[in-house]
Amino acid sequence: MRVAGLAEDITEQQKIEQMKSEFIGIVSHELRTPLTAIKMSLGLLKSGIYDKKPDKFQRMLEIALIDTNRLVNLVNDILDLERLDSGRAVLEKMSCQAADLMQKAVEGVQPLAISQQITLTINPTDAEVWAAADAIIQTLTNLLSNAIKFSPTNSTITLSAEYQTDVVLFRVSDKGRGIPADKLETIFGRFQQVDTSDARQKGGTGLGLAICRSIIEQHGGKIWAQSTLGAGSTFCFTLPLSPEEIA
Amino acid sequence: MTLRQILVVDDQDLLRELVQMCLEDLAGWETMAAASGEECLQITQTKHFDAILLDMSMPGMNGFEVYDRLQSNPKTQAIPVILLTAKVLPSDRDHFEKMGVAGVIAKPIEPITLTEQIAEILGWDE
Repeated sequence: MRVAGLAEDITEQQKIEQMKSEFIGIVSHELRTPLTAIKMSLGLLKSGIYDKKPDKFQRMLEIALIDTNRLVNLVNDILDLERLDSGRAVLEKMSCQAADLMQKAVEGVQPLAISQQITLTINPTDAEVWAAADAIIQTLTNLLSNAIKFSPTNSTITLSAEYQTDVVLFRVSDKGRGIPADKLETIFGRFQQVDTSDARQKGGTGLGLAICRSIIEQHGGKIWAQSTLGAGSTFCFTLPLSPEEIA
Repeated sequence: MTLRQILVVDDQDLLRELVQMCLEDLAGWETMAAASGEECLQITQTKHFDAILLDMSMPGMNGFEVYDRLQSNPKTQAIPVILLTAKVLPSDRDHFEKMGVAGVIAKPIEPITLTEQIAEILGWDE
């Protein structure tokens, strides 16, 4: 029995090592691409060929800045995920009004929504949840930003919450392009966008949903996606009720 | 100076733009862009190019597949192809040579010497 246990441990260890090296492989590719662009744009600026061409000079700076931001977001997301998954980020939970969390997240993404002419509506609940407020606002912000990125202009995104037996169910619904059935689960993995060109065109790091899942699971909740292709997607998650609500 | 026509194939928008700027502003070559292997194969059906700069790692059809398709088409097989890739181990170089590519340029690309590297690979006297 002990031998069998040991063999299982080794296989598990090998799996983890393999996952780690795959992760590092992807990360180095994701880091190298923006670094290459930054190096090229700065190199061209330094050569002086654009010293008398202000439009192109400006464009070089713009490219360097876009990809610097991309690197900053990527590094932040990698660190967030590492802290969450390693248990180094302890989420301090307390009773929070679900409606407050929803309101704060919506306020944060409102400028992005306005710039894309998208309306955000909230259907709150008066329930209290047992949650780390910042982490839940981060989760809602992430889901709302994704919804905005994939929504057509002039459409509406709905953020709702409803009281269920022992949890509160949150939903973010959009009228975007939808997600194929075989991707509904994998998108919560690291660097698993529906389309590989999404990271580049939509500006995501490919880690947002993995961070959301980690946060929700650390609350003892569940997170999942439902979708109809061409009609829209709904991201749902549950959070436990505050102990006061249960009492 | 001959007016050269180069096709730049890369799925990364900003990198593609930067490579095009290097070629146009440093060497005065004309460029066109393709964001995928599929687009590259389409464009080369109707337009002639003096060379193709082909990124190796692209979603969908990767550089190897694009190169094979270009080679198997009599219309495009004569166009010299230079690969742009981060992966250049000695064993990769052998592999690329056997494939018959004109040359390989490693990423990160040196913007100032890029056009010189291309001219040298292709034996262009600029």
